[in-house]
Amino acid sequence: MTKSYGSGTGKTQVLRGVSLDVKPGELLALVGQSGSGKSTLLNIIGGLDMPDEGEVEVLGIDTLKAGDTKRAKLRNQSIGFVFQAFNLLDHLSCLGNVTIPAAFAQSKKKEVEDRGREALRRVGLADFAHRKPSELSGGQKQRVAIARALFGQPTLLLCDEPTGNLDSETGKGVIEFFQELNAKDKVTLVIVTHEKRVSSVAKRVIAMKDGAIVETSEQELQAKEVGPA
Amino acid sequence: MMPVGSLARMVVSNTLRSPRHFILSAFGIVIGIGAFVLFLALTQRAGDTLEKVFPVDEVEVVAPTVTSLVGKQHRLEKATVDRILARPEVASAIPRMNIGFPAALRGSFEGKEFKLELGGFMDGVESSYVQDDELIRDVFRDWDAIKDDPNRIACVPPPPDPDDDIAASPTFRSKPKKQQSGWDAPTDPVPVKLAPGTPPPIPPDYVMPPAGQPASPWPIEPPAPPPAPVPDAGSAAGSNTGSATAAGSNAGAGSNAGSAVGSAVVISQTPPPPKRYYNPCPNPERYYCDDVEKMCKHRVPTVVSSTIVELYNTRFAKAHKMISADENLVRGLIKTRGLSAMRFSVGLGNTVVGGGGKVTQKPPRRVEAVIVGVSNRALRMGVTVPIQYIERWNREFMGEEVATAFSSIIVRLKDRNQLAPFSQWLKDVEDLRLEDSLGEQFATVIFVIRLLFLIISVAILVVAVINIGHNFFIQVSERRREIGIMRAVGATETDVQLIVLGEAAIIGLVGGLIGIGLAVAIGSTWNWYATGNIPRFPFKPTSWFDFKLWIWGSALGFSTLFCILGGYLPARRAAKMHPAQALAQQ
Repeated sequence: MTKSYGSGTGKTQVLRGVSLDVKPGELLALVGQSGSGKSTLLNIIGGLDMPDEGEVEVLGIDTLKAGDTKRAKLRNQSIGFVFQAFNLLDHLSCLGNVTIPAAFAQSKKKEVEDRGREALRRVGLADFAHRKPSELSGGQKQRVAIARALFGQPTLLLCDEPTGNLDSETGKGVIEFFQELNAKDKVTLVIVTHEKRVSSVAKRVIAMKDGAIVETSEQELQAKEVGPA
Repeated sequence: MMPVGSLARMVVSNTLRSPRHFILSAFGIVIGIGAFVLFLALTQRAGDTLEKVFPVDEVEVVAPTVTSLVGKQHRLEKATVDRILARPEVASAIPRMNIGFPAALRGSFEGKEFKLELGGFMDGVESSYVQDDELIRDVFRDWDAIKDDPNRIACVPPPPDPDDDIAASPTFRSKPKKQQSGWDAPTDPVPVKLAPGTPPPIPPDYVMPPAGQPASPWPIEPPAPPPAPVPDAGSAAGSNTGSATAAGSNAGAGSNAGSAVGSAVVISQTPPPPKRYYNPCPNPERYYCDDVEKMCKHRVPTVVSSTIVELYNTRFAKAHKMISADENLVRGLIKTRGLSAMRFSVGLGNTVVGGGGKVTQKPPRRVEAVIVGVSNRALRMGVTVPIQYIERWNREFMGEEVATAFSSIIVRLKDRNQLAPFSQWLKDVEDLRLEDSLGEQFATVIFVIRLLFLIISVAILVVAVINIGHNFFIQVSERRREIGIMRAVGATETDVQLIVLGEAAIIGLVGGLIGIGLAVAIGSTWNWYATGNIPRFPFKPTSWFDFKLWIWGSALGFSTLFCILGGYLPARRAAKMHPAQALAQQ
């Protein structure tokens, strides 16, 4: 697929004929410099962005042909997002942030709350349900964001620089959690990162440069350094 | 689409967390809706008052004032009424008949005596047409038509009043007024032969006045100085021996009609000395002894218009330092003082114009009448009685021709839009015309004013909508990341749009409610201020605003609708926002 932003002389080609197949249960790392197109690729997979040309099929759904409602349902029920900037809503409590996907689907209040607390418990923040994000550390915020991503029990988790804003110790914990999630719950993970310690746990590492895949490393291989992000 | 409950919770939560945005957006709506409600309520009250004065849903058919050269008689007769009734567009046709000869009124109110001209200021209408309140429905009818009225018994008329040049029946006018001084009271005013059932002659407690003071049968004078500002009429109502005396306050209509005829009113500024009112009839509340027929008869029921009451208040009462009245006072007086509270005498065939006296061929005679209420069906300038009385009196004094000619016909159309064809038919076929309707002109003026006010309100609302749109654009822009997050966790474009529109609707709803509250507060403050500070004028209302439920409903509807309109474009922008780009915003 291809993707560009802007028009005329200001047009920037972000993806230049990228082709990618992610298997169920895979832990995939997308690495590359800033502007290499890895975040755009992730957004396209998650249905948050659309390619200019090409085909995208996620969990059996052609996201290009599917309408907005179908894509929204896919994000709501099958895909979880974890962002570098956490993207929590400051006016909501941790529990409120975790359960916000429930606002866009039919669900019972009690059940929603139980599931929200369970998601928080899984990330070790059971006691933080009623805290506001502003009262949390960076690592705790990211764990709340992960709990929100897990709330809908997704089969695909898309993470964009999940450890980018965390110290190394906290980042390590997050990586281990992802590994566990992938191993035990068979959740497919696509992680955009430029950190070696993150890509080192991936079964497959795809390196991108200038909007194209330049190298693919299989499970046993260590990710190649493709330059500073 | 997201569940309605979730949508509502999210909308309320979003509204509560940004009060500044709410206040900025709602301010214009509050002002606009406040003006909208206030203007509508004001013009609604004005319209209601207008309808009270002029029944605008009716038209009045009259004969042209200029006689046609073709020679056709322009008389409104029974046949004319029937022909009008036969028209498909006509719902009802009620004839009115003016009194066709001079008549004068004499009465007193709160100690002041009145003499008023009634010729031209009195008409008759079908009883069924005047149905304003329970008392009117009960009393406003032709009592002389009741054949077997047990109260209609023979009676002895009161002694003559030599001072009365207005209402006295001929037998009482035999003594010239000059003989007041040293005048002898009639030695035997009682017919010797009494019919069975006749009440006793002049009761023993009937006090004849001392020499030099006129004896009067005049049924108005207060028996004694009243103890309180409101004289007690109970004693008059309670007795049928005739010894009881009348209340001191009567003839509200008299005073009103007085202002209508201007110089035809004579007022004695010093109350005459107390006299007794002699009424030998059973149920003296309603019945009096007729001078000519020597029978107890029900007083002629009359109604007056609110115009008359207002004229009395604004022109007459003030000038003569008398209490002001309103419709409720008229009802109240009747309620507290009895049905005889507003009685007066009518001198049929007499006049106060040009010095007074008899003016018809037939000898004048006195009848008693009583005001039974205020009705917007009454003659605007004068008094109205059941039409049968006028027909009989016109026949008695003027002959058959006058007794069968109506002065006008009140026509109610099935649909006001059919006024034009009806008017054309009247002109072409009947050679009649519609009376110029002052009410219609006023209604048009009020309509234009209301339209003007509405345009001002809508202009304020449009500015408010632009303001709301602007505020929402800013807010949507500020909340880009939040919108991106919602899209990432499953919100559709429609969901985002509904959330923004819901917030706009809440501003409309709450802003509308505050606007209504503001309007009611301003209205109440104005009412309070106007009560003490605005001088009384005709039809001055106690409340200047009529906050009808439909005004509240439409205000809320408009404010919500306008806010949703204002929020539409920002909501659309929010919905179309690129989620990936929105999330990239830091």
